Amino acid sequence: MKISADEIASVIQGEIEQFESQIDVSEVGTVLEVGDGIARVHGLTNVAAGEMVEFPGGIIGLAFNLEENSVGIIILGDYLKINEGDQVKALGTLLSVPVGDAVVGRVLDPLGNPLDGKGPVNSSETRPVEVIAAGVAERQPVHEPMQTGIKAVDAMTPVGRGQRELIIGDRKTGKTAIAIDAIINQKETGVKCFYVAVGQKDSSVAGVIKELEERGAMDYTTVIVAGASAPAPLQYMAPYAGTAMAEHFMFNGQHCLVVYDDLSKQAVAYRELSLLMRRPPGREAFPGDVFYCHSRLLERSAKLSDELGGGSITSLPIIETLEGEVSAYIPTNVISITDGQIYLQPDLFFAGVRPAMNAGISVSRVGGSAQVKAMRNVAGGLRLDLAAFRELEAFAQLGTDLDAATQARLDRGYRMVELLKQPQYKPLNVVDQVMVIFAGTRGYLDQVPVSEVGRWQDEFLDHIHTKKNDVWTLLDENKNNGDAMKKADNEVTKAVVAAIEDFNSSFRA
Amino acid sequence: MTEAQQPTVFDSDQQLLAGVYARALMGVGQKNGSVDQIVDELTAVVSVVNELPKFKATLESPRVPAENKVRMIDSAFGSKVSKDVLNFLKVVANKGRFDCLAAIGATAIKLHDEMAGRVEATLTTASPVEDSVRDQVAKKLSGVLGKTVNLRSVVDPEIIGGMVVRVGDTVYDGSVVNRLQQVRAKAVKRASDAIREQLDRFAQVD
Repeated sequence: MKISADEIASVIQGEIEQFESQIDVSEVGTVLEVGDGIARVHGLTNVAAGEMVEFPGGIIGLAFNLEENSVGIIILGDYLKINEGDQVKALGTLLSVPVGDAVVGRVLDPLGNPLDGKGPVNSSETRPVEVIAAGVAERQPVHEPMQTGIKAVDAMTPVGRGQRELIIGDRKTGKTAIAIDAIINQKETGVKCFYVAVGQKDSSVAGVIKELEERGAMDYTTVIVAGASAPAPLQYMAPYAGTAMAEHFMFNGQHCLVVYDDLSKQAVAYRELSLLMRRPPGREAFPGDVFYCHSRLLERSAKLSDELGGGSITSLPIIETLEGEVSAYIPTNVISITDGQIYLQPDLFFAGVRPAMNAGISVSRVGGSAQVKAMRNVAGGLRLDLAAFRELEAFAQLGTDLDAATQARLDRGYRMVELLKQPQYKPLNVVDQVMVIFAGTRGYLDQVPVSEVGRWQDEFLDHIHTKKNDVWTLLDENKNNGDAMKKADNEVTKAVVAAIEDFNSSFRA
Repeated sequence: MTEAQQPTVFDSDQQLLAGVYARALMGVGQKNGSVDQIVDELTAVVSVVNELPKFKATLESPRVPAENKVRMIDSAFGSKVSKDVLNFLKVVANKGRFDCLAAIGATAIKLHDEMAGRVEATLTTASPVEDSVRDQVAKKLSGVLGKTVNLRSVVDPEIIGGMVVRVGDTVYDGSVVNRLQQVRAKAVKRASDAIREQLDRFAQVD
């Protein structure tokens, strides 16, 4: 490639000729002390909270604490290059990030700078990082389903577009896996995805990005990274930056899915900042406004009214608990903010139940209204049945003789647990999900040995796709019909039952 | 230390305390109508104390009892300053706040200026300016700010040309170096935008 220097020179010459300078009036202050990602500045008399300031060398900061004699600044950059006595200039603007189609498929830092080596973000539009969430009049209730492709989630804790569903669990229980599967399942749905990695090891983030790329999910996904080595201010800002990028699409009538992985680390970064700023510590040394920190973030997930285009942001915040302690400060806060939670348990995980979702305490407060109707009809009582099965199972371990009815319920439960297992990166279409869950809950699997349930599902779905595609299409067309799969005499139900019975007759355990 | 840096270490807690003491002193002055005199005397005391490091250390030391400090103040300044300032120094000694004296002096001057409608401003130029230019700038500034401007000039060759005026925390930057930076930023942005929009105009793929 040959670069023509003359052309560039002419552009620059034109710019110089047209240049008109006005006297630059600015508000300044002086750095009193600097360290640990924060600076205390004297001066800046009229600076506003959250306003951007500039240090020498173009390093950007945010006014965080306004005190009587000084201003506390959080530094969004390399604070080691700032010295005591440096002049700080107020910029009179709020922090904003690039938005629009240019950010899709990119890996960015919380300020919108590229980290993937694919050149600058070619976007002319920006959006403030901190904005007030849409109000009551601008919203409508959540009613469209947001399929995660995970049987257990879509059947028992359905997520709607505009919902906030918390994924909570100990370390190594598959929290990120659920979120990644949900992103992969958005392929060809037009949903834009944002994966915000806060305080994660850079190696795990690289793993996630590679996985998304291999499955073609990076075409519609933006990854915002503030890794474990990033300064606390960047970790604190990252979720807001990701949300701002998603909001751009939401206000243009599109749908977004944002994964915050994870908010416990963001809370820790915020605690670090607040303590360095000498804000009084509260419970677990978190500052008093850590609730607001999360509530104002998650309030920005919304389903907009039709007048505003009906766009939405669905968020899947992740919280890591310690030793299953859900009653710690941050978990209880985020549980109370979100519209439900998916609780992952280590003992289930190690018993091979993956996703290791505990059906008893996982809920979706939006519930059935955000579920495909056919799915609601087949999976209605599933969550409670499964929770009851867990209790019964514990009781049955005592070794007492069981009556036939109880034994039957146990057998059904074992098969359902087996059926809801799902390998990673294998999201299922909702029609497939409806069929297999229908088979499980209506007893068509009772004759299949527990160990063969997985194979039954694979072969059954294969059978449907290859030989009974008409049944699949029929159900797909009628999945939002309230009667489908509800009554036995329904045309769709009959077709599905016939297909299952047909397959069962040929299935060899 | 670069030019942009402040020459002294700044202690914001001390400033806060100094403000309280200075305001109290100005209150006394206003009541007795002797503000000008008090500020002059206090400035003189501060400069004397600063010139005598041992005396300063003694006054600031927490190991010296307050009575001794009061006696020292009496003998040093008793006949030279007004009763108000003398009493004030004794109060400062009794409260053990002599470490704030310099800050109190500076704050008192600032308060006095504020009361009289005066404002301090700094004029930075690349080379020394003539007094006529300085007066012109001061006059113009006074018109804009509606206050008498006390202009201090500083020479800083790094700004290349033009002038920078600083009033309080506000900087009016008309320097050549600032304009060059602006034109550079704009030209670079413009050029990179243009390249991104129509790459074929600038480069030919072989």
